[in-house]
Amino acid sequence: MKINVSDKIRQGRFYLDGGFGSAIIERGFTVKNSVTMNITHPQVVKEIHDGYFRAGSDIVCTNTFGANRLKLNDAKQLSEVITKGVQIARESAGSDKYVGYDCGPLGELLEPFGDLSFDDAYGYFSEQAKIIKDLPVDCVILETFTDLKELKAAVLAFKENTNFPVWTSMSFEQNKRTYTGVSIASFVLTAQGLGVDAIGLNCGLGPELMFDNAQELTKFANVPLFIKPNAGMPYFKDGKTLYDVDSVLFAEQMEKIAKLGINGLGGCCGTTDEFIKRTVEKTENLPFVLFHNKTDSVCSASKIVELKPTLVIGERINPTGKPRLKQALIDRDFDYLVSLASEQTEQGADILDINVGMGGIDETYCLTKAVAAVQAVSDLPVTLDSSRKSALESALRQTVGVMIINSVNGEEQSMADVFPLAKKYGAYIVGLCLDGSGVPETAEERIAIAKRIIAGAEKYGIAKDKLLIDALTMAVSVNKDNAQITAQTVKRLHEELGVKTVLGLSNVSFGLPNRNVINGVFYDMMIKEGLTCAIINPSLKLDDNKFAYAALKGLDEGCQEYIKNVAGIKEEVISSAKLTIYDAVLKGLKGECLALFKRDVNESNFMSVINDEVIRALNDLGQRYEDGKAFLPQLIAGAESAKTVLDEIKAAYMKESGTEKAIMLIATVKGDVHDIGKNIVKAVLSNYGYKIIDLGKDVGFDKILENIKIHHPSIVGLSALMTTTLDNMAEIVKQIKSYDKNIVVAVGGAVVTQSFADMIGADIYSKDAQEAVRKLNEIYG
Amino acid sequence: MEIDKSEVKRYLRISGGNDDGLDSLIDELSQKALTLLCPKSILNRFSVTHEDGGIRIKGTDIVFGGNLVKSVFDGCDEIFIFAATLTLQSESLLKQCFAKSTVDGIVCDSVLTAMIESYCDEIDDSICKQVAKEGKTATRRISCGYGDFPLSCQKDILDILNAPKFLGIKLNENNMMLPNKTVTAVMGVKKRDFDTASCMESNSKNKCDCCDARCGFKRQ
Repeated sequence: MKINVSDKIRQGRFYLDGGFGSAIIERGFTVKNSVTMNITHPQVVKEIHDGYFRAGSDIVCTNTFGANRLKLNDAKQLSEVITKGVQIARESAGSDKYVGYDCGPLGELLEPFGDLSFDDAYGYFSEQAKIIKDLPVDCVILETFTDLKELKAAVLAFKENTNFPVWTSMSFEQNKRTYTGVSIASFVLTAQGLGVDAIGLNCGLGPELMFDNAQELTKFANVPLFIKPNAGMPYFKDGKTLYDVDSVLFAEQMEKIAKLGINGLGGCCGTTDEFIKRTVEKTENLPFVLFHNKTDSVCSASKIVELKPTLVIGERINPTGKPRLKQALIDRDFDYLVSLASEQTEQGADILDINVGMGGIDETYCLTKAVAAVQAVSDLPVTLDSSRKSALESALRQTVGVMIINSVNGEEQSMADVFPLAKKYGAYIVGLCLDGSGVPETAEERIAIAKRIIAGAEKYGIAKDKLLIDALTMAVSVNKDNAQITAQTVKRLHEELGVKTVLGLSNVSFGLPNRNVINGVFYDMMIKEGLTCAIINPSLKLDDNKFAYAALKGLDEGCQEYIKNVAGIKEEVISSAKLTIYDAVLKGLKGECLALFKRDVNESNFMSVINDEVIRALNDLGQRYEDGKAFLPQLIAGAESAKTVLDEIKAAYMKESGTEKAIMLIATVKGDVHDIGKNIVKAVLSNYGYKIIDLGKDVGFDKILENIKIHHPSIVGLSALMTTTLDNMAEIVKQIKSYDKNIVVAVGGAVVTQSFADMIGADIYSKDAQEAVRKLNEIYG
Repeated sequence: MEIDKSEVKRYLRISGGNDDGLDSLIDELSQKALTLLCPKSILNRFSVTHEDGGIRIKGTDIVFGGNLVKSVFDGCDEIFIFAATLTLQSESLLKQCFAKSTVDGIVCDSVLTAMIESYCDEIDDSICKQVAKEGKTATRRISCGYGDFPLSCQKDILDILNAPKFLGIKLNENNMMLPNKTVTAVMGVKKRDFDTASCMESNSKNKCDCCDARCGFKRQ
């Protein structure tokens, strides 16, 4: 009996097929809608497959690369194309050769760059998976992906809806990145984490340029590898795409790749059966390698972080004790959370912890959205911090890269909830040394729970390498021995059990003055005991201690790492005791505004701070801007500083919602992607009591209407920069007015004038943000 | 490649006056963009025929219509078409900057616009040099959306260059390109005629003088 294809590729040199598009062009067809050839020209498709098998291929990919609902609208036709495609390939393969179901990317960009949601992408792939689940396929080959999130949607769809092995390949450029920025290491670690059976490189480059990328692949892989390059680089002649490498040169260059030990070889664009035949001749007797790299790293799409002492996990995305973050989560406004991620990334965190657990919100929704929002602006790997299984699972599905789950504990139920998720999504897990009876008071008992967690993980097929055990930090003010107990536990976990460790540090100083002193020394103690990760606020620069420690331990030649990472840190302090919030807003000192809020604002004076300092400063700044004495960036910096103070005041003292003057939708209209002006208006207006809902750019009436129905705004603000967009603006104004003539429409933008605004029936025209404030305040002030 | 600070300020609509903080922010973000981003482009040369509605790319059914096309490419028997992009990394950089602050965001937006224009100028220059060697001259470059050159031609331009595949450029239903910092342009090639020196030859920085689009960033 024929062996499983994933075993076959482990047992020797294994040949895939070559290009399909080039083969059909050679036969006088076009690549457009080539999948429908399964119905219209099955014989041609079979001939191509036959040619590859004759040339020596062990497997052919079905002619289904673009067979998805975004490209073929008709469900019945899609099913037919796929079924027939598999049938043709099976017929050609007979009983001893293999058929890979070929699935390419959907052709649309996923969020956050594009509009396609993860769930929709998953749906499109699942539709294909359900069609093939009972068809005679040997494996699924996900080819030429460039976005790791899309690849993850596809892997999950095929793994959850079929029992076939899944192979995956991505297209990298010469700089070892896909065009969405995915690194080779992140691809390998993520795909292996999801349990794929083989990993490859496909398309984009010819074999010569792909060599370096193939070599990089071998550094991280522990599954079989396959390489399918193009026939060199494309060039155009007389409207045709041609390639610059012939079959002889191709085979010579593939020989070099084969000598890296990679056993799966094939071709992509521009290659034909001749290329495969020559490649087989050159490489079939070369030895191959099964790669077993031991990697102990987490990653995002573009960055890997090795889990070795001592890493900083940024703790600030956590609503406990943070009224502003709480309010933002209630409002489902992720901008503030994103700014926390951005700050911590700049401050040198290695990993970001994301915790949105609080009463009164939908944690599943918020955690999933929060992770996506954070990953759009930060390249750091993440820790998903939740005790809710549904929230974890939803976020795990959509998180790109290899992540950490925080956390599991010694309770059977907790392990039963978390370990299967960790296994399925390839995540690391924080294991807390506690159970139903609470936090043990001795190191001995904590070690016992750690052992139980390690044993529990093993039962679910999870090696202890995947665990980070949290020895637990308790306040030293409560019990004088607390820090010592933690230290002993960390030491023993490290030395006796050989597991990685993690600690949330700052709890140790709870209830004490000048907590940073205690935290700093405690951190030093823990580094000495071998702590792997510390969950701390990276702005406290506690991690400077790790560089100091390395320097003093003789581990940092010339103190280079210390100098690089510690020197020149600017501290955010209030520069002068006389500085007021008015001054700080006027000068756009955002950091100082925050410090001054903490120093100067209280329950009794917050209203006067708003009116006498923040708003007065904004008005004065606006006046200076209009007089040509202040410039645009200063105006915005002032607006941002004001927003910082106002948001803090709102979260801390103004519990009741609905205090805004008016709700305003704001958008750059359809056909235009220029939104500098719109962003300025948004920044300035939001300080004057307007709740601004930003719909982004290239926005048509449908999206505006949808949001009018949700938010019931009093005002819609539209911006346009290009003459070609003005027609769209006129049309949208007309539609808004015919839907509800009471909605105030404000327009602006470089090409818009008062007379144009009058002509299209807009209520307000303003030439800039300051004028928008003035004119809207005349109505709502 | 360089990013011209005065161009960045033009996109920020700042004229006159100095602001050290702003200058250093522009420098910092320009440096970051130049280090982080690898702009990419794809270029091809096509023969064209003239017909009533505009110009047709020989051997295809692609026709670029409108008065602007007709006037710019008058007398051209060939055109260059190119697509240039700062890639999706520019979208990431922009998001990161907006996450930091709105000021960083809008300055970055302007820096990236100046950068893609500067990159296009380089491609433009190389085309001019190439055709000069052949004893010919290149017209100024025009893009869909200029004057009456319809945005709907964008799809044909991207497809004929195979830009979606090789540069990862996507077009949405409103003919907006993603990454946003992407430009496609067409330049004509004609026999050198010294009486009508092309715009490029006179001064590449004065492109606005011969552009009839009503654009918000037109140099005064």
